[in-house]
Amino acid sequence: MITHHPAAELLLDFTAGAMSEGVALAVASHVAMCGSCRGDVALIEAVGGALLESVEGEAVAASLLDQTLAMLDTPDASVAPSPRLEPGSAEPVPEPLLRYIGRGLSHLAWRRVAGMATVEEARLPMVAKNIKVALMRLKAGSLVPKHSHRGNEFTLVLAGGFSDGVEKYGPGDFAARDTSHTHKPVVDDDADCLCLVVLDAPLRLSGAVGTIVNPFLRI
Amino acid sequence: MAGGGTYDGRTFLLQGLEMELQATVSGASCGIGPLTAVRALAWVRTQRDRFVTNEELCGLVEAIATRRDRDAFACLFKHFAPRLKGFGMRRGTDAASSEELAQETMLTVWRKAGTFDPLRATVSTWIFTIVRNKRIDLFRRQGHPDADLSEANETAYEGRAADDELSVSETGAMLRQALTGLPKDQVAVLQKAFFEDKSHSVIADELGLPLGTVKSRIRLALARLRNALPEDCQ
Repeated sequence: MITHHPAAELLLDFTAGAMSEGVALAVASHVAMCGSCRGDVALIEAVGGALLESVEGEAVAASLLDQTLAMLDTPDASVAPSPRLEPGSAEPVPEPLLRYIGRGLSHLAWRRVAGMATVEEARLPMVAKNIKVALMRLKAGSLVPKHSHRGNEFTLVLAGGFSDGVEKYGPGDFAARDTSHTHKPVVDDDADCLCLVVLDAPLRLSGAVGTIVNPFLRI
Repeated sequence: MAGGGTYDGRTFLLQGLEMELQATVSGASCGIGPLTAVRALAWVRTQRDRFVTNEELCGLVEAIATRRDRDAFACLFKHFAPRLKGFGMRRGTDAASSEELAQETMLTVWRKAGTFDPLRATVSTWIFTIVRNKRIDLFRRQGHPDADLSEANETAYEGRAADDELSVSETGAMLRQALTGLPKDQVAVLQKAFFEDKSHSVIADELGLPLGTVKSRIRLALARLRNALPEDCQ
């Protein structure tokens, strides 16, 4: 059962279209897994619809309708790239993530995270360069060194689970951490964990072991 | 399905007035002079456009989806293009780019009309999601992962008898009503988010408010709107 959700202000940023692509990917993926947040997003979209209906109209050029009518039958050049999954493969990721993983999880450029034999990551392509978006695979029982953040870290659990000492996170759970948090996640013993992690600024290391894993935590 | 007019009394009144005036103009009745009637009719029709019902808009989208009806498209365009341009300009975008935004959005309405589900959202809500995505495409040039809400709709409609079902139009009208009842400071935050596509942290900066204050305004506003709708719609 999903117990950790994006806060209302994140759902609003997401639905209003005021969110960077990477964070929006984490929120959209959570929403795809979570019925209650789908309800909230539907409500917020309806607010957008009501506000659009209430906008003071601005007269458009008289010729705009005819121009638009003349363009109706031209093909759409701006079609979004569709997922390129290998036929028959079923990936354990929600729909919004599919178009970011190319031919499938096994085809991503996984690399072992320095200093840790049990943690691998594969970065996902983003237009913006000041954000890090990656899938992480963590072996059952592995520990991630204690760290805090200069910016925000968003984590969505896709499979398995972890605990940060206070709370437990399972599939579909969404965690948002800002600069005030220092945490040291421990992956559950019974299964490997697959997460989507979004970092919008570099990390700050807070444990001695940090120096060893610095390259991993670098954006 | 009950009409949006159940809640939008203005539409109902204007429809009646329009019929009366039409009769006067055609010479079927009298009371006011024909020229006055013509002018009044024109005014009533402008007002009618402001309060056009969701059912009417759904009919236009359906005509586009099933018959590629260009007249229906022209009607929809006349209703939405000025609003879409206004929507772009509220963000501070210049008039020419805002017209481009309106045009691109209406072209997508034509192409995607077949995907519109009147049981899931009002036409305005559907078009809002299109213009939001176009705005990101045109002005921010980044991807926009979308959440597929189709299942949310199935959940929302589960286990409800057809005859006491509130239509999307009715809940839409109730939501509009609820929005007018929100405190001004909460509405201001929602408007900045939707019209100016500003994140809550940017809004806090601009209004000179602590982040926590903006967050709580958003939470309170959404809770009030949710409570204003019947429980089975939540």
